[in-house]
Amino acid sequence: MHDTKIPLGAFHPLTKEPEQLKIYVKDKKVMDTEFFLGYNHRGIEKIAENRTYDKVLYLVERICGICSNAHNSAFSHAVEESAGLEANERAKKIRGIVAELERIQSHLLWLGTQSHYLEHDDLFKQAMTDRETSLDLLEKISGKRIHYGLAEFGGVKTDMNKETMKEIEKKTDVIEENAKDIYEEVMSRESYVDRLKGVAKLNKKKARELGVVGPVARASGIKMDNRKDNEYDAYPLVDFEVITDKKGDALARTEVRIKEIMESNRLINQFLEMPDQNPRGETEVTLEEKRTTAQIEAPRGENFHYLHAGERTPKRLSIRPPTYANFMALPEMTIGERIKNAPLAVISIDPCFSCADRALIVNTETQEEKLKDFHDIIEKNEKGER
Amino acid sequence: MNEKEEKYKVNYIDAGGCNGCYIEIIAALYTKYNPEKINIEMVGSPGQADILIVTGPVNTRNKEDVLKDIKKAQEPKKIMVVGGGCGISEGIFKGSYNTRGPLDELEEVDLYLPECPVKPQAVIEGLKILVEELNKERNGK
Repeated sequence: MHDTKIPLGAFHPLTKEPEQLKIYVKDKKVMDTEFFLGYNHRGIEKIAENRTYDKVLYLVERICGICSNAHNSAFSHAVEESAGLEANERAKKIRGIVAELERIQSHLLWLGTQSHYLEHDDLFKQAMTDRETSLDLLEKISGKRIHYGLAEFGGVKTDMNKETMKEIEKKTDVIEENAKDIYEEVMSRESYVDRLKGVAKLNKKKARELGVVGPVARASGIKMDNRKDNEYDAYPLVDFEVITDKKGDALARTEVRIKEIMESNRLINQFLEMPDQNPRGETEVTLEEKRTTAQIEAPRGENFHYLHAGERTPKRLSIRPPTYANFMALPEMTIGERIKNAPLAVISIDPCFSCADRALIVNTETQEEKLKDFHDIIEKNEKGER
Repeated sequence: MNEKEEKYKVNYIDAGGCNGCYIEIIAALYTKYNPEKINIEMVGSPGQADILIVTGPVNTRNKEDVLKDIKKAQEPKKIMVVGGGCGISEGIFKGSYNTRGPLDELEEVDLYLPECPVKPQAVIEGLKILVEELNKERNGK
């Protein structure tokens, strides 16, 4: 069926994170794509079963270095539901501000990566510089640039003063202005737009069937956003739009993400009007056995946490990050495409392998199977097939 | 140091961390933290590299690949492990069934950069130290 097999990875300069991708090619067209994960698997779900809830909060944060707050927040929601706690309005709004700043920095990082791949390095540099602005704000709020450790059960760890709020208001406006500039710049560059137009197409029907989430789904015309549908935290209190696009290609995903940066700024400005309350929550909780779930809109899409609570530690924690859902669309996006567009398809879903690899199920039987498969790969490498 | 001297090449290997350190390395090299002062450049292959930056706790699946990639690097090579928790001591992931590290039990490591995730300023400082050491070794020959 295919005449060439192109292996990417496990360590490849394109993706940086370790994973193996095999692309089967015939006449420069992609016939099939295969994934081999596990290079990032750390067994977080299993470790969580031996740690108390306050420690798991910090553990789940380390699933991913880009959307760490989404995991932190989702886990705290699952525990709060189990314990019957609820954060007050100020805490909810502080959570909202951090979540939206995280979305801004994640989208800008992605925009930088894509621009770098398309050899528009000036846009990469600009996106990374803007991203620093949002990271500075996050550092000011929480004390850290990444892994903010924000959530407590029924509240947040840090409060913010008027000075910080003013700075946030000022700097997010700058980010929005710059995002507008970047949007116009991207759309005016023919070489950028032409390269993305019609690439990695996913129509609405297929997107629904494959169950994609987040900006990938929204770029295919599906109006899904947990912030609207699930109404968690302070999102029901504010007014915002769910950005969608009908085109369903890599260009649509670019447009959706850049517009979401602007929308996030609108949200942050609304969150800044908050009542004077004490936002702190509980640090330690004791729960009764109960099964709860939490759905959070992470920058890449729906982040789902399932918690089977024990008294002091989780009996079972199961997590489905957005990348896992979006992976499933990759064969659909790439089959029939020219080989030069296959990496673009991968970039356009904004994959995060450190998120996805955590979800690998390992029992003795399958682990053996995986290891066999792994040695098989090494053997082929040694024969020079890679 | 002579400005015209060849740049030292740096390669990055992710041994299964959370990706946070990697992003901080990118931030250190391409934003206001200014890499221009150090005599380095990033390369895509460990085969060309003088300095290797490794993050993450090393796991069952990537252990062989990581060690193989480290062997490919040019001599004299320097290995820098970043990530206060997982890179240096497996940190928060200690006790997992799947971790096979930390890296210093498998390979000789030249420099550790603590904190989770590492700060961009620390990455720059660490690279400066390694470049200085490489300079000494090269000029000593």
